[in-house]
Amino acid sequence: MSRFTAPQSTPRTRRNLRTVLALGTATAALALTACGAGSDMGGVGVACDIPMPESNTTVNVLSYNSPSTDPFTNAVASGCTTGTLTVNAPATDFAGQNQRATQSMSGTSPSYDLIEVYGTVYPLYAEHGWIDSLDDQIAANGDALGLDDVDPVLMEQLQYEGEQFGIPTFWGTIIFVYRQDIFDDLGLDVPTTYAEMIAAAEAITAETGMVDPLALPFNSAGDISTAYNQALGSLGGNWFADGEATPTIDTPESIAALDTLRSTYLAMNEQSTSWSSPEVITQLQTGQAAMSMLFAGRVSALLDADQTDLFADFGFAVPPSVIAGGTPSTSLSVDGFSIASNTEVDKDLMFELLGVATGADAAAEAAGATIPARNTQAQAADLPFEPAARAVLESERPNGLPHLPYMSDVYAGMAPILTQVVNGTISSTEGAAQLQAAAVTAIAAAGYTP
Amino acid sequence: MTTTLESPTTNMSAGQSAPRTAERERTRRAKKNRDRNLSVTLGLVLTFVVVMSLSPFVWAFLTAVKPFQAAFTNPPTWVFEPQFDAFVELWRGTQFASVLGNTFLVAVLTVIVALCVGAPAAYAFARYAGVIGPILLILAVVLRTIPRFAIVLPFYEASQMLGIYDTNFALVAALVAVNMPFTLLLLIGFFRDIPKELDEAAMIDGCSHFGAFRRVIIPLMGPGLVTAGVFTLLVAFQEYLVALTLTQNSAVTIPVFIAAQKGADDVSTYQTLAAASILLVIPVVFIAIFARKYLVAGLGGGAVKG
Amino acid sequence: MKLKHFVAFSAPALLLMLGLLMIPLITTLVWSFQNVPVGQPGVFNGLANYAEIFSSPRFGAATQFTIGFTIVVTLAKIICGYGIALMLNRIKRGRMIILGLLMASYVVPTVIGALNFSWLFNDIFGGVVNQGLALIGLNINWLTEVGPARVLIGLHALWHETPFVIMVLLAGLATLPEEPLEAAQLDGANWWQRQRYVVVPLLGPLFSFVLLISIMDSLKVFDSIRIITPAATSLGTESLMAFVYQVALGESYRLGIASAVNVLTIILTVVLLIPFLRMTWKEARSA
Repeated sequence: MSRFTAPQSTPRTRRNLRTVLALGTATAALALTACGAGSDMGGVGVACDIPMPESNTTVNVLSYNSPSTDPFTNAVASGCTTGTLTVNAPATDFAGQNQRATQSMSGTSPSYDLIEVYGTVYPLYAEHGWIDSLDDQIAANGDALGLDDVDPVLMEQLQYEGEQFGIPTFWGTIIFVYRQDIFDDLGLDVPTTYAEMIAAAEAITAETGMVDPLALPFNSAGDISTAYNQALGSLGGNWFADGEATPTIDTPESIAALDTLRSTYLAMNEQSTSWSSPEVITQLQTGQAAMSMLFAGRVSALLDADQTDLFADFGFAVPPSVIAGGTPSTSLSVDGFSIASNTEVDKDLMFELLGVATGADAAAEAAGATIPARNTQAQAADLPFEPAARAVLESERPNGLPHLPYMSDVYAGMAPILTQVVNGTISSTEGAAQLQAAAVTAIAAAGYTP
Repeated sequence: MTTTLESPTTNMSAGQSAPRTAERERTRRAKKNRDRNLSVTLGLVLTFVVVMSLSPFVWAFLTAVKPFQAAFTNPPTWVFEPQFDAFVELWRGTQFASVLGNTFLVAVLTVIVALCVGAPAAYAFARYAGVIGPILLILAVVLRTIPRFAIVLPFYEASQMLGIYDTNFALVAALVAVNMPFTLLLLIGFFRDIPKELDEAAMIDGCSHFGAFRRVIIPLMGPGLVTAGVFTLLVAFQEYLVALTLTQNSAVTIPVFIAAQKGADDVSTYQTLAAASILLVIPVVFIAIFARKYLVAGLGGGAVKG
Repeated sequence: MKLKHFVAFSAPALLLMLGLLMIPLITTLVWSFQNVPVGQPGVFNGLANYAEIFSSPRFGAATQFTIGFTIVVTLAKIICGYGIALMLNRIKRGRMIILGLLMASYVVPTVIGALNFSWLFNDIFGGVVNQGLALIGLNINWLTEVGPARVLIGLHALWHETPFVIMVLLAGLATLPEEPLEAAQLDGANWWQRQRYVVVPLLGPLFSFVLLISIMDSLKVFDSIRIITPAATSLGTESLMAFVYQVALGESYRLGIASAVNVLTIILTVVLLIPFLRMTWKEARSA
């Protein structure tokens, strides 16, 4: 039995043919939607007044897809693809962003020239010399950029050891999002502590029958770490001892933060450990949830009449603190663009493009979806969630992650431990001990000593 | 084996008594009815299996054509007015079109290179009687089984050093290499079925060995080459891990694009993702039905030696 | 065929496999004894990588999961695939169209199939399966609990790869010789006995072929895990290859550790394959 001949099917060929034809027609019908492929990428309203390179030049932008980042990326990709210049911005997800950035910048054949950076990664890139310090360029050509319109607090978020390594595009703090109509109907106040927040959830369930009013992104692939940072900061805890590579996440504050995550999880749907922001937002949009805490840059989907009938019903506030008297449970995130050091494109041209990507026109395009770093555009947009986010930014502790080159390594190993604490597999004390041990190992593996 | 079975015609010609024939006829009909009932039952069971098997694609289609507000409700919305915005957005608002084009380019190049290199080697393996052939065959099986990462990580470093990282060239080279053992196994099975005498006859007629291969054997290998080609094409189209590691931007293929869209921090991409799945599923099902004969021949034939 | 011709015909493929398969494999072996930070040359560190791996509970968990997954999924695939192939072989009409439609889940890129498959179990996408299960009073958290998540990955493999088993076994059934079956029927063997003593032994080579392919594919499972349960470490669904990905490209860039895991996986695979390799060797020698 060395070979089998395929069963023959001559009498049925006609029927097959009919199926094939039907499928072919369906494909053709769907393919018709392809007319004008790639012609609607946004960013057309952006002026790209930069000196064109003499020879044909291609610039690649690495920036994860999100409603907040896309306007800036598209501004430079569509706006500056003209004449001799081509700017590409391939699709990347957030999880792939750091992988691709590292692969591109650590080698000698770069795939990307302009890199999106944010809190956990840019210190590492700066430390490795993968992104350029912009100080000289800013001193020489910076006036045209109008950087004084960017809040100094935000500029500082992309500095490493006193040098500017990136220019901010947008920022966000975690804010409290709630259904104002339901809160008004039931006479509920915006909670100031987690206990009040959980009580409000119970009240909503009792009065309206909504099963899971509280929905927080607790995804065990990453969001849970942000939730931990929120609670730790609100309780006054710190990640590291001052100025040393020694983690301090086995402290009473850390244990209390873990207790908070566990008790909050118990007040939510068991599936919350699979939720990232999009899953939470769909629940708010469809009326399955009434409260959440989300990065301000992600909530604009709640105000979009095309996406939800409830677009007029959401309120935004400073998030509650874990316990009375604490700082708000939040986290600050600032995104920006940096220039890859190994780029083969002329550095002056790169700086010009950086200026376009982070410039006023791009900020104006983005202002519908997120809070641009430029104050003029941020204020002009009059976003309903901006006051709450700004109040948090200007508060005592907006709680950004520490700017340390090993932070992303420490951060990467935490989620599985946090998930075990949240679903009750291990106690908070055990969890804190494991976090500490994992952080020590990660720091050592990354080549740093306390 | 001795058999007592007689065919109906022999019965008739042997002039068996009429009542006996009628009785046989009745049993035969009863059996036929039973068979038909069984066939109908099995048909229903199988239809159910098919519906279950296709349900993920049906659901993705529904997700793609639902209005945004109806797509993410729980319990699901069943009554809605279909719309095709997600398909339009997919073509106009994402790089789907160019990624699809690149995927086809990579897949076709992989097939061409794999067949040009693989066919002569498979022929040699099928014909050469020494001990080298079997050893290489074992090696090919082992290479087929080892984890792709063990090959792709060094590939990644090497392509970085050579400056060919994130190019179609590196991707095609990797895909050809990774699939070469399987291509060989598949083709060897087909070459074995071509009698050796044909080579010899051709060579007696004055062909060189290579001439015999090119003029006589290759034309006979049509189905085998198509089978290997279809398989390589599918693999190149499906491969995620190799493409994920070796591409970034200019050589990205469909699976990498889809996975990246999936992780996008934006609810509205879910619908374009559903639309993309449907656009890719339909032609692939099309291939499955159309090229089924070759798929069966390839899976059952080339790789099995029984 | 003479050796000279053998070499001439096979040289391109052999060189290609040597250069693009063997050299990378040797590199992997060398790296497994080195500390290889991204973008830098490796530094020899002896057995440190292996020591670290063997002391890592995560590697143990990934190995256990991968082996368990391979055994369960392979058995389930063969049982389901043979059952469906038998049914297909009995029906008179529509066999080819059913087979063609069943093939869809096999030929679609795994990434896309896994994505669409997982949506059925995701409440955010309406959770149709959960709606159905709720009717019989079941509430399963597929995406957040260890047990259900593992079952889900297994169900996906079953859905994705059973058509392959069906196709191969159906091709075998269609070419079965008639006489042994008829003889068995005349000897009064019932359906089960005919399957047990006639059909299955006749299809033996095909069963071992699908077994081989299934073991190989299951040990390499990666795509579906990355799509269905991105938080594999927390959900107990981290396979060896998912672990390698996280170590090499996901969380950290430790190519040395990743290479050591690859080497161990190769050893595991080859050990499991020894019976098949012996079979292939014998056949190749006798051919």
